[in-house]
Amino acid sequence: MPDEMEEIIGEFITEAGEFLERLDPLFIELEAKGYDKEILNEIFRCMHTIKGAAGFLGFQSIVDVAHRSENLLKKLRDGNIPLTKHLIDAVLKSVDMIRLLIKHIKDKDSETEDITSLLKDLDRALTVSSEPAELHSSDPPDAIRQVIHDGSERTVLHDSPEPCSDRGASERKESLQTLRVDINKIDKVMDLAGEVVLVRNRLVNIVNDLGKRETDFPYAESLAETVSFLDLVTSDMHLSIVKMRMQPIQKVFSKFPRLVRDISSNLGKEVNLSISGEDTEVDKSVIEQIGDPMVHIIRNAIDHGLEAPEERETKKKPRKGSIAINAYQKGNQIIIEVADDGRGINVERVKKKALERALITGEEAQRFTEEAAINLIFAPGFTTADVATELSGRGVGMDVVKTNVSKLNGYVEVTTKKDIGTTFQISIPLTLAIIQALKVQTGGSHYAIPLSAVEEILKVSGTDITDVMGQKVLDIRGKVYPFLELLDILGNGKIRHTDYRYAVVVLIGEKKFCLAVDELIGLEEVFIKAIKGIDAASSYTLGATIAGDGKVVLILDLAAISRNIFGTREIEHTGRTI
Amino acid sequence: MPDYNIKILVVDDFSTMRRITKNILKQLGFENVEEAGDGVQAYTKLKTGNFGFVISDWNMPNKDGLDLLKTVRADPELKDIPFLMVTAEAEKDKVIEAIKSGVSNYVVKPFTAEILKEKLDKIFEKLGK
Repeated sequence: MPDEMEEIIGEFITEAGEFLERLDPLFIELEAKGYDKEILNEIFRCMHTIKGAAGFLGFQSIVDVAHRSENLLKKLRDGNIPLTKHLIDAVLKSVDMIRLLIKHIKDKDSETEDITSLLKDLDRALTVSSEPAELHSSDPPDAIRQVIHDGSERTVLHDSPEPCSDRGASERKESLQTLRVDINKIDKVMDLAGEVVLVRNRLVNIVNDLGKRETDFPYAESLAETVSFLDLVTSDMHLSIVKMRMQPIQKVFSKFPRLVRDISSNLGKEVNLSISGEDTEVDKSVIEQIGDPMVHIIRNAIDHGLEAPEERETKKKPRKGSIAINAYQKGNQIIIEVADDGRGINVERVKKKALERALITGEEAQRFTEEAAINLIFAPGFTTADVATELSGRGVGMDVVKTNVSKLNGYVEVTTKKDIGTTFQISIPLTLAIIQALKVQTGGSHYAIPLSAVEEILKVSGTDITDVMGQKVLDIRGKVYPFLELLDILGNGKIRHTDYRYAVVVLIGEKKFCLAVDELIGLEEVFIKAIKGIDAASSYTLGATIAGDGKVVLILDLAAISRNIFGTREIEHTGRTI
Repeated sequence: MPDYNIKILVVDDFSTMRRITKNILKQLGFENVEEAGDGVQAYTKLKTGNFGFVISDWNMPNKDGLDLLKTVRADPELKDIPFLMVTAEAEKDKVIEAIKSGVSNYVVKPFTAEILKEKLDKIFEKLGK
């Protein structure tokens, strides 16, 4: 039964992975609380369970590592040996090793790991309790901190989780009311749902046409009714399918406490981590791809943003730097924020470095607004660290952030204040494939604008538009916004009317501007199909769709257009890509 | 010859394990197998199903294997149901406790189809089936 075996091993990899994911936050809690029988038992059970299945599947290395860990944990749980940082580290090492071994199984790369030294360490840890210090839950918190860390750093979750064994139990209960489905099957369904949406659009159009003609078609009324019902059901169906792929962002956030602990420990910084909004649900693809960018941002924040404890004290700041991670839904977007209270980004230094690396010219540097300058940190090869630390300063981190976030059709914005701190804000659209769109016509071609970004639409005449230093602007109720012809941005065709224009006022992030078009066609729910061979960033499109009237319509990427207008136009003109 | 249609309940909180056990049972000819993720679920199923056999792991949340065994043996409807406990070798000392509570037999993981067959046969023999 080779296929069956494959499937069982696949299940093992997934399930064991889930168990291991649960472990990291438990360790952090253990370090903070000191001896806790419940937590130790939970960790023990995880090891024990994984060992059991691994034994059946013949994964002897995993069994060997888990077995020794298990013994250690049992002794710790039963209070036979005192809990020390040294022992926690030993168990953490075995968790990491098991993760690595499982990864090899998953990648089928037949790589083996040398576990002999780890086994020796675990054996030694079992027989000798090397640290003189002990942790008791009755010790005052400061004393514990000193003992655990010898002056190194601690991370603490502000929202303390529920008692672990309860959580583990209810999670496992929940998992029996769920079904594991191959992600490809869900994707196929999503694809089909998209097709149905387009077919529905066509039907709606035809029915509308029919209505307009007023023919004596006997079924006209019942057809209209049925299609209208189909309309509702299709929207519901699509929403339900989209929700199938959504999971709480906690899956990504759960890795961060350990990450912050390790990085801050390595760099000699003290960090207070707080996480909120971890229940916010996002699409699976977001979970898969947002982890790396966030890790880079967090690393950066700890390495460059947060000052060393002594420096913070001289600045009259709390010794511990704080990093706050937050996720929430705002309309049609998911917003993820990483904020630190460190030294802020030095915009002058950024400009200077960019000049040094010939990313911009001296003239451009003069013209840059502060916002535009900050965006330079996203340029490939950019870094202000004079020595690349092991963790960052290689100038690749921020570039990866921008690329990965763009892949999700999102964008990232940075705000910073000297000595107050820096906040990275990532915005990602909620639904990936189907969106509400405003269809417009300009220069003889049809385009679709994502409705979520549209604030209002105004019919303006030539006299309403004024010129400020070469930039056309529109006054809307006392405020002035850039006014651009869509055709000028896309670079093709001639506008049809000059006496009036329709100004579509869009809001992307914090930037508001007007796109001028010839005509408004209508609203439609469209299914975005990415077009192979077109580079989204240069063509300002998210993809194409088939509109209700059967025409192929390009869907505009407003974030890309916004970047063009506000930030990086100068750089693009010099031919260097950002 | 054991009754291959006998309804068996496999209890373990790790679904991969349940799957492996189900597979081994299938190899031995037992296709009528159901699953439960912890002792509470298991007990509910036993009360409502027509189970002829229980294979249970020891370490589970909510209600562990030993607890389930005791509950089953205390229930007049279920007290005679054959109960096989799956343990890790480290828990052999707990096996004595299980025997005191009325376990039919125990098997140490990892086990092969042959080993499981042996254990099952022993139980069926005792029952005179």
